[in-house]
Amino acid sequence: MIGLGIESTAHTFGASVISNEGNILSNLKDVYRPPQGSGIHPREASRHHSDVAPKILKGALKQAAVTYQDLDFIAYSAGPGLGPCLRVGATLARFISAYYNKPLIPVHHGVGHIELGALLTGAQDPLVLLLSGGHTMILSAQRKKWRVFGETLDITLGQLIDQFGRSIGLASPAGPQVEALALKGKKFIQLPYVVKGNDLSFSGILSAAKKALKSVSVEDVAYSLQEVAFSMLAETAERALALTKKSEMMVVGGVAANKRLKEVFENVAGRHKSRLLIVPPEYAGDNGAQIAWPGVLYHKLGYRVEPERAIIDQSWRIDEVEVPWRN
Amino acid sequence: MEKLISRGAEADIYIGKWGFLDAVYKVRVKKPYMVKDLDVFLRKSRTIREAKMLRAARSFIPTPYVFYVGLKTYTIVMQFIEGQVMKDIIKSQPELSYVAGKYLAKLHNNGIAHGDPNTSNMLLDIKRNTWLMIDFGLSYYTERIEDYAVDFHLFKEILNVQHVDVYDQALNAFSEGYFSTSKITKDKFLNKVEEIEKRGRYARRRNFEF
Repeated sequence: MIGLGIESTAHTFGASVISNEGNILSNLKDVYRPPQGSGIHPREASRHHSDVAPKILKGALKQAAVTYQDLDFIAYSAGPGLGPCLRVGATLARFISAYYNKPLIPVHHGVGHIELGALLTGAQDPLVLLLSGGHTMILSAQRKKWRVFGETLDITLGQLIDQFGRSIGLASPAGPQVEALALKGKKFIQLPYVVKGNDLSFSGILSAAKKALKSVSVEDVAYSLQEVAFSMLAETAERALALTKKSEMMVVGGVAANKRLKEVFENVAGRHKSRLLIVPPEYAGDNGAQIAWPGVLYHKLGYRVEPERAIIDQSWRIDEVEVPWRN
Repeated sequence: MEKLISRGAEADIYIGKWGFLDAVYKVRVKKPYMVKDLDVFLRKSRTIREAKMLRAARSFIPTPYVFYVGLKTYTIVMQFIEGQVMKDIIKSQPELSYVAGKYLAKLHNNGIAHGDPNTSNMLLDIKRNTWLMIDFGLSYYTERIEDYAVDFHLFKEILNVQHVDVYDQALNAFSEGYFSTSKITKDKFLNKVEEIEKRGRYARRRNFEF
């Protein structure tokens, strides 16, 4: 059995062919780059996706040495994300599914990050830190759902870093550049540290960091921003580990590629005798395989939707998603 | 000598003696991953806050008695309670969360938000058959309904992730306990809770019908 996964949630258009056993036969993507200092423009991003889609899809099939006829299913990212972008992937998936008469499977983008992470790291029943552009959540699987232990009450960690980056004129996604600046920072300045139970709030850090730029070097602000935000996240992760006693902690999503974050979480995991698993950097960002792999898991259990009911949902919440393979 | 009994998110808990009394030593330990300034700031402010708020809350609900606060060692020494946490017994008795709701409302009525209400912070004193509320390190004085609503949301969140099996019953009992005591009208308050939950990312409640 092989399947195709199409990802088009935000800035990335990706396609991947994957086998039943989870061998990633191809995983191609093309990332929309907004002008420096600005964020993703949904319409421009969706145009980019339409432009690159034929090349990426053809490339993914070619690299996997298969044709559309060989596929057993088509999976697409159904949300959450930017409407115009999601629609590009969904429209293509509906078309391919209808034309070649293949089962169609909607996949939640966040579930994709988690399940691909589990496939690649071998995690069995981890406490999950989902740190992507759209999510900052701590989760654990119970009774066929990914349940939220804690999450941000306003903006995500990814947005905090990205919006800070944009405010100093960097291009989005600005994570790697902010990380590089932070490495050069030396002086720590206090920024609002807001933890409420297992929930977090990052919006105060963003405002305070922008304000601090008037009197403190950009390197020091970037450094302090990372330290405060990562410490907050570490504290909530520690709470969740102390309560659940999970033996594995897995970090997935674009922010997982940050090296300082890794250092912090190695320490956190060690304190609670848990094993830290981090999704490999090349799979941390959005990609087609994160959609294709849950596609396999759903397909094995006979899940599918008819093309006319294959909608998208910009605000689809992760703890509403049925994940029947997780008990 | 004190004996380590648990390692929480921010503190190690030891059991020992204070004079001739059994005592709990709550020690906020250094976090090696944290910048020193931040680490010291958090440990100090939370130790002070917790000791202060444990005493303040005691006027309204049962909390452990504080014997001593060590600001140099970030330690609070308090009364040892032989008991069980709600987390471990709620599965067979979901109606127990009524008392958590009631205590939380009492704090709110008196201008205190707990900051971390959950089933691990409710302790049953077996000898006296009384519930106590603990872990006040994140609590604060506030008059804002929004802050009270966050407390309510946090407890709900914990039920959903820690006690899925009895979620509905436990939430009902918690809510009943809360509104039995709260001075705020139910509709107004629950609207605020919903508003907070919607403010989080991706609040749409729906699913694909496969």
